[in-house]
Amino acid sequence: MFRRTSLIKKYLLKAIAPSAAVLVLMASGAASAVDFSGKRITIVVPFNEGGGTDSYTRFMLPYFQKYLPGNPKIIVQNKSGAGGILGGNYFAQKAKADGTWVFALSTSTISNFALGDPRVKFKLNEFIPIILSPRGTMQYVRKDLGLQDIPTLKGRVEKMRSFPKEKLVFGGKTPTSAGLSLRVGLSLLGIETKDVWGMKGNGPMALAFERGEFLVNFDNTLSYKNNRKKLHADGIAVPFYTFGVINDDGNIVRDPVWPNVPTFNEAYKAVHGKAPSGDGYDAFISLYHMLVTMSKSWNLPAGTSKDIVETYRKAARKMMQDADFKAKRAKIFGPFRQTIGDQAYEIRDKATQIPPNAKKWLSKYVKDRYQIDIK
Amino acid sequence: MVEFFFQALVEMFTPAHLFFLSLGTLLGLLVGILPGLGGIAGLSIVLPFVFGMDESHALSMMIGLLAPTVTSDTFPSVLMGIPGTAGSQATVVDGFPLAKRGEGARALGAAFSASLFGGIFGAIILTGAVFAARPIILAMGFGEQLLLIILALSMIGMLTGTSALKGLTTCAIGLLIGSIGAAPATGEFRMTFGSSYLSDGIPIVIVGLGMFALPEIVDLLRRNTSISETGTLGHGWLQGLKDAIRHKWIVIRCSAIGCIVGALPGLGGSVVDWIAYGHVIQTTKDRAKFGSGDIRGVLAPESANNAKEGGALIPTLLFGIPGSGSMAILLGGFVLVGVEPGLTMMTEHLNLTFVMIWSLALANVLGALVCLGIANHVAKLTTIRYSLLAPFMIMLIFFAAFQATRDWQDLIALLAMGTLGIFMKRFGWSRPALLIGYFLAPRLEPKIYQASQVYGLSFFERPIVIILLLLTIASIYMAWRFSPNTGKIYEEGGPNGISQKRPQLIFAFAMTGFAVFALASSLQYHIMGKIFPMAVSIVALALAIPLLASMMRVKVPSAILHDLELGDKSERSGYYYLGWTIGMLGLVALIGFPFGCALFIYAFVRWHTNVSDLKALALGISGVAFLGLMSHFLTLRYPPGILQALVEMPWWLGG
Repeated sequence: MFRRTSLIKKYLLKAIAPSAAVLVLMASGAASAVDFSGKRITIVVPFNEGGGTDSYTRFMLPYFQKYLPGNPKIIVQNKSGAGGILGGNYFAQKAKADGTWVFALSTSTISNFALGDPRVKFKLNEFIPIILSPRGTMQYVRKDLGLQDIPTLKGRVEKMRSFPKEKLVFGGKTPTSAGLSLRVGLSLLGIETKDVWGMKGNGPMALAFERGEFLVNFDNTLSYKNNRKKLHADGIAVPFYTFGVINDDGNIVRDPVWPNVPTFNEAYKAVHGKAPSGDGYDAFISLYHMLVTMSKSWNLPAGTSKDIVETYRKAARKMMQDADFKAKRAKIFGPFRQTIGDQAYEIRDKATQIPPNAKKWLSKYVKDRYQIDIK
Repeated sequence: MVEFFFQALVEMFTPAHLFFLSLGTLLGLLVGILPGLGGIAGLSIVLPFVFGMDESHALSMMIGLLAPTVTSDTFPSVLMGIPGTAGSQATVVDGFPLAKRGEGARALGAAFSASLFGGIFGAIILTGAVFAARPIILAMGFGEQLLLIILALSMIGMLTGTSALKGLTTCAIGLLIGSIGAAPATGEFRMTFGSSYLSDGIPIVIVGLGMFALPEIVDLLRRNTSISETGTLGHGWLQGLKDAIRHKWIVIRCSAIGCIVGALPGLGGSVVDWIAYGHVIQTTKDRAKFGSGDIRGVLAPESANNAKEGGALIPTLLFGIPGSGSMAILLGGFVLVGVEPGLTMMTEHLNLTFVMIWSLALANVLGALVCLGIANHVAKLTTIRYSLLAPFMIMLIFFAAFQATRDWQDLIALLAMGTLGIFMKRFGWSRPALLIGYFLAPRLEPKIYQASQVYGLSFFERPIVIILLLLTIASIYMAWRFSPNTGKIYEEGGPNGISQKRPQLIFAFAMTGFAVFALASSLQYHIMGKIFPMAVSIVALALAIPLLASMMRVKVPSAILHDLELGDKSERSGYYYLGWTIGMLGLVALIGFPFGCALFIYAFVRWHTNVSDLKALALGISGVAFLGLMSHFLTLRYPPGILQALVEMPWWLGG
């Protein structure tokens, strides 16, 4: 950043702020590719201060400052707009692949990319993931539906199928936001709902659920545990299924936060008699990766050298072992297994690229129900 | 319970707590004074430091920061006519004329007394609410929220200026501007002209600054004097304190309004000042002086906007639902210190809840005292010649606009909205009506869908909906019945004259044209993206066409006509100063934001005043220094200029 010097610049810096000159000196002293001494790392967060992705980023920041060689100063740059697209475009245009730029990512930015939003001007499928942080998803319903009295999972799904569409009010932000994966999941089980879009977030949705305006709702499993504690304890919210998490073998297993709640796949099997498959399920799985496995992540720009990527991974691994981090991680990371290393590429590819058959199915699904065109 | 309450008070007076509370308060006062910056920017500055702090220290610092921003924001509102934060826009309407009359110190004294009372009132209500608010918030379903917004819109009837028809038209245009961007139910992009920037709509800070800051700055420059027309400061703050005591019932009522509006998630803090202002006009008989410096017009919004924080903390603490942008960041801070809002705030974290309540009360006291202490000194700013202040003001508002999305287009959007604001001011179109319509559109539209989908017509059977409906009707009736203009006679030679109708007719046609455009463009969307802009633009046209007709037909001076430039003898027109502003943006494009602003300040001061070259240079350099410092602490990157590609610059100067 501060490679070239000129008389004008020296003069200006001396006149205006001597501290900058110090910065310049420090920066020019750094030579090695994987030593960040005196460097300044910028993390672009494409959402506002205080949001989920921002908290996630600011939580990890001190550990990377500690464990990246040379203890660089890391600053967060919030650049929000258009569901993370504007921040992504900015990053793609501005970021240098020298390890001094990092992009924080979350579900909505990935789904905007994967569903072909015309405003996207970056190639998410080429970003290099440093750490992927999964978050489980809980589908829950109101006690008015009576699911709590039915002992078998098959019976519960069939009970849900028996309700008329008008009865099951379901809400979300827009038909192409996180709610879509939940909605597709319900459809795959043969459950149709009346969808109310235009909600501002999970908080207002949970309130509408508590007021009895929504009968079917969702949340991430950590938030369900922490923020819907009372709803759950009072029996107003009844867990239906979770999306589960992917284990080392690539299979979907129960969510570690809610090991007693069956997964979506179990529900599918209970009612259809076989493991899920087909175009619709492929579409579901793409959405699943966006929502669950790649819920939050840090990424380096395409073309970053292997050394730098490894340096970041090493710092991430050291962070995972840090006693202080371990003590505090529960609120943000929960018990979920973090993905650091080459496996992250595979998940990135699955989350960012929807297979053609699945895309075709999804386009029709969204078009039929919500009259929306996706590319 | 009670012992926790006093235990928290004792805890507050430990040195460490007092230190962090004072630190937060002073920082809050500072960001409040800087126009465009408010609680959001302030909290963002401290957020990185909060991590790892003791929870109760961190919370008292954050609350301490949030509370006084709406106290000190009165300085720029009253003294410069620029809202210090979104919550003090209504303060400008009467506070600024008071300052111009030379009663700046009185207005400030009244504002701080009202702020102090409102803040403490908010803390008391919050205390009670911690135990009782849940059923109230749960009773407010989609239908109730919808009617609440409609009630807020109906109260604009009070703010529509001289002509109700014009005001309502403006309100509808505001709703249309507010529907620019992604449709809430379908995500379709409406009226964005293919621009990604517009896909989230025009940021509120830009609409606010464009409507209220730029037109006032240009207007002051045209008059080419100091802000205070008399050049004296008046009776000082004691008079203001007496005003607050004399109108105690207004202060109490508006504090209550502030609490209620603040507690309603989604309605948020940016309208609370207008609602309080509308309320005070609605409930007083002698309202002739409102808009030209009535002290009650300062007391109302200032008591409400401080009381709002206590109200806004209710849903934030109880449900983790932020009522405003700054509350959202506060929640982010909660996560960082490891406190989960919700039921636990009344059980295991009860002590923290009380620490926050005490912090809120103490920060309001401290903030008001500091402001009262410096009021007389800061008020001297109004005696400075405005040509010296104006370039800094212009730099500041563009800096503030840049906070919206931190993009070049923020600056262009502000210029566009400012130009619109200048014309609206000249031709007497109500700017508050446009702002409120703009602000409420994205809240109104989804509520209509949600209420109709969930309830159908049965929502008219809900008792709270019926009450709100009756209130709305009463509000409209009052607005009509007690119209301030009934029987008023206008004279030729003033702004309402009939000579030279053409400029204002052109503007009125342009506004109507926008509604036609909105109607035409709405046709291309799917049903859920179409209904709202279509219905609103039809309403807008139904109001605008009779308005145009009567403007063309009218033969005597009347309320419907308005052109401030009639009979105006200023040396230079507003367009001259608009031209300077465009010139500044040109410089910014060439040599980057900090240096462009600095050169602009230098040139402007040299051109319009007789200060020495050296002094003008010093002013320019102080501009760069300010922007550099802000960039450093807020980790902002300014838009770089074309020429800066040739010279490497440190990042905080726009490299």
